[in-house]
Amino acid sequence: MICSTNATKYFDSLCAVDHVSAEIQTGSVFGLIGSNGAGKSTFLRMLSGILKPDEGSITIDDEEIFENVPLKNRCFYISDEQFFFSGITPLELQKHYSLYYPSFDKERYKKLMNAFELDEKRKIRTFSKGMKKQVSVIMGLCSGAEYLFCDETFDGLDPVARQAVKSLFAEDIAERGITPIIASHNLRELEDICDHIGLLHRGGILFSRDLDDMKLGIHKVQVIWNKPFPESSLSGLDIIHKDRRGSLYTLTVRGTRDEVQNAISQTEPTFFELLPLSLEEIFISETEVIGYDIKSLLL
Amino acid sequence: MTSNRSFFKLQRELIRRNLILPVLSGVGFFFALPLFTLMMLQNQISMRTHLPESEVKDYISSIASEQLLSDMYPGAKLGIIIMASLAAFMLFRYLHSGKQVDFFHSLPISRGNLFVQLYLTGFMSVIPFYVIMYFAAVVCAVAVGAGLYITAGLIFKTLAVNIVYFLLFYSLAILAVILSGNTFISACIYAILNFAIPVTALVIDGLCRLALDTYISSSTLSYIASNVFPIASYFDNSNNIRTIDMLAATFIVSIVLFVLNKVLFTIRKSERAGSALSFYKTKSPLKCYLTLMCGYGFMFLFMAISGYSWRYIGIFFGVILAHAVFEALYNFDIRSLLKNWKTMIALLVVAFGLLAFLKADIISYDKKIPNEANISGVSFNVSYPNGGYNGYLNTFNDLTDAKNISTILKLAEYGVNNLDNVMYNEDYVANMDITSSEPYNNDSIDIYYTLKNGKKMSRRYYVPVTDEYIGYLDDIIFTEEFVKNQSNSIFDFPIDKLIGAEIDIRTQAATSSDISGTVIDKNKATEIIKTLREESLTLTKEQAQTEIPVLRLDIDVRYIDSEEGYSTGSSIQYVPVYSTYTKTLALIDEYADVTPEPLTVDNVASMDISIYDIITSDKLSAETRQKIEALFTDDSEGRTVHIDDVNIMSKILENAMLDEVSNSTHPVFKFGNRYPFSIQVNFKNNTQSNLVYPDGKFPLELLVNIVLGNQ
Repeated sequence: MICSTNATKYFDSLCAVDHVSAEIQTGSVFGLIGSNGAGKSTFLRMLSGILKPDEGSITIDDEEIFENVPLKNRCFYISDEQFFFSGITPLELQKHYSLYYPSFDKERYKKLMNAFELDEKRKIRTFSKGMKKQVSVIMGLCSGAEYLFCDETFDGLDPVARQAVKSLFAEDIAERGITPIIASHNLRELEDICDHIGLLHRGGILFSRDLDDMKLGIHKVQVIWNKPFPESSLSGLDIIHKDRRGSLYTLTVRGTRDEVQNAISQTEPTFFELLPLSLEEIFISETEVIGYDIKSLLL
Repeated sequence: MTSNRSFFKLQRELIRRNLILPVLSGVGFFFALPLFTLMMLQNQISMRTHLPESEVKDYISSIASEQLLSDMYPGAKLGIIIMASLAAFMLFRYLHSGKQVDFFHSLPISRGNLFVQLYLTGFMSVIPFYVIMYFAAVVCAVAVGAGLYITAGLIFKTLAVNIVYFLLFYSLAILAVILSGNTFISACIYAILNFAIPVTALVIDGLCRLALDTYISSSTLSYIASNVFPIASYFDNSNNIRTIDMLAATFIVSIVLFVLNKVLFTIRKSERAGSALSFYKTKSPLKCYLTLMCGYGFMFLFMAISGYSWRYIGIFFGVILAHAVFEALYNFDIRSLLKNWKTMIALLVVAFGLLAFLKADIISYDKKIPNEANISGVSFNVSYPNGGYNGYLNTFNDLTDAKNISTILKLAEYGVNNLDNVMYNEDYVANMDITSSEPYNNDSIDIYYTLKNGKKMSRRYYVPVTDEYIGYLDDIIFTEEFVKNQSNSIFDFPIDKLIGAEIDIRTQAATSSDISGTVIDKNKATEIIKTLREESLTLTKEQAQTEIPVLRLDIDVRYIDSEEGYSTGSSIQYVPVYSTYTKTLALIDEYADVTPEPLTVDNVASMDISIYDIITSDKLSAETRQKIEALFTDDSEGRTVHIDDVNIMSKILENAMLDEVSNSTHPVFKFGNRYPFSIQVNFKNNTQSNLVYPDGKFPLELLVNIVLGNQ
């Protein structure tokens, strides 16, 4: 299990990650989402032992990750801005990684290179952005690492490759119990693969919870009343967003399905319907609550 | 990554990933060593085809062993410095790129281990190729017959010196790369690391010289400036770098730098890639230090270009410019030039304040004279007023006699009482009229104290030349202790360690071109020198003031001067032998068959009397001046009267001595000077010399009569 306890990172006077506490269970797929500059990459670099927290701690299986070589042997970091040695080929890169990761699976590497139709003797600098990402993912999957730290890994991959990578992750989770931690803006991608989500905003974590729980705990309700909005009757509900178009109210409400349904029914609406929220809508709702409102940015 | 196998595998992989380094090393050292050796030696051989083969072989062997294959060969040194710097920057420059830092620091390898791996990669990418190419050069030299003096010792020493200095420059360059997050700034830091210590020493020394009237350049600062300067000490071909101590010290410094680099590399924050400095706490101290240095540097520059009065303007521009550059670099923004302007003003105040503080001499530096009870020894440097060739006086050992210490303190007190001397005024000195007699009425004396607590102290005083001053000097220079410790004298070498000696003897009648006799036997020469030492102690002040030495000696000695057995040579010229030194004269007569011979007309063919500055001379009456002027109507300088009359020449030679003989007189000897005539003697053997006379013996009347045709 990865455990972040009050992890904090300053860049000069800027607090990039502000006392973030979160737990990531082994075997889960953790999606790290957040607004621009929220500190996702910084947090991920702390989790993978590149950066040392200025305050707090990052542990994996109760051991500090920073400068812990045996532990880092079980981790692989796939950067958003990948670095490859000048003139290196995938084959040479595989040999390079094999020196650091003794359990590097060379057979699987060959298999995956063939599957993705990548020439292992071609210089990586001649590859497209997506192909470079594929090479990195292949290296990560074949390294034998249990924890994969992926920063915007799906960015640049075509839909087929994206789907293939997701399948590979799923396969490794099932077979080897790996734990991918994926930072991304593409919430639809995460929605497909992640079972746990951490939402970062301005350096601090807003929440970290199971995706299903999250979806069950927040609902979108469309309601029509033939009377004014029954504010007093709905005071028991945690309405985090309210929108009105004509007589149609759209509410985003926290609570179980039954709680919400009962509370709305008691106000005798003309029409009401409970709709599921996408991860993107949850993200917008949650960040809007703490003042990150796209509409206010546009106005 | 802990097993040896993995270690070497990774080492090999890192070398492969930085293949440019071994390629450059191989090619570079190939050109600098075997190829250049072959080219040079072949060229030397082709230029000496007319000489016997053995002579040619001896010559090219000397070139090979003393230049091309020695630790003095600049080509290899240049290669070592370039490759050390290049290796450090190429291997550790990843610290300046966030992308690369993420890659390397995410790998399962500790920072300490990664540092060692990268450090060894640099070493293994350069040194093996240097060693291989060096041996290839040795083979080339032997192949063309230049291997006569190539020994295992030579090879070992050359390799050791170059490898140790590689480690030093490599470590310095790595330190520069680690300290910054930007390659350009790292290059600047690398330059600063190389030059900071000597430049600081020079600036401190310069400031003290400028602000303190009696300051003498500190020998410690001078040593630091010339030796704690890696590039200078590497290219310095004197004995320094070849001593084992110096090499060991350089090696230890390299090891210390290695450890420091490893610690800094380990604690360096990964996120500092791209920032000006990796360790923020060093930002302000570095900026303040370098801004002040730059301020004073500009001060010296402005003073050198436009004079002393421009010193404050130099500081002003230096501080502002340096501070602005630092702010722009620290912020990577040209618009930040005037950021932190308050610090800039504070630094200006500090720079001006420090200079003003020193100049005000609040600590009474110039007036300070140590307590006599605290002094264990003294020495001094002085040019005896009108002291001639032997007039520069100093000692190679401290004087410890209480009387001499007391006299030195009186000299110091005399110096302190004259701190208002015009020579302390920089504006006066800068605009000094060199034709004025003022500067010549003043003298400078350097006094060095060794205190009983082991500390050293020194002062330089500008003093008026008075009888009091000369009296103090005379009180010292005729003491036995001074004579026995006088530098550049016959006492200034260990006579019991002589391995060779030669004495050239000249009489009063011999010019510099003639040698009256020579003693080359070491034992005989030693006996003469020992006897001369004894008799030198009997010379009295009165004798020294009036007596002309009957012989003068040029003594060359070679002696062992170190425990390692290295030899050194000394050459002492114009050593006087007076007529009272009977034992010395007897030995010279016995071993060289030379006896004193006065200057007589017998060997003289003719004389030329030249006339100068008749109008301004105060030695002649107005009537005489007019008469002489009337004889020479043209303005040419060739106002010369030629004479060859034996009787007249004989009269002119009475009391005269040759110019060369005057060089052997004691500094206190009184000459007659400022006469408007000079006399050149033309000897029969076609040599020439000028005549010099003791005070009051110049034949002025005779010469006037000769010139006017009355003789």
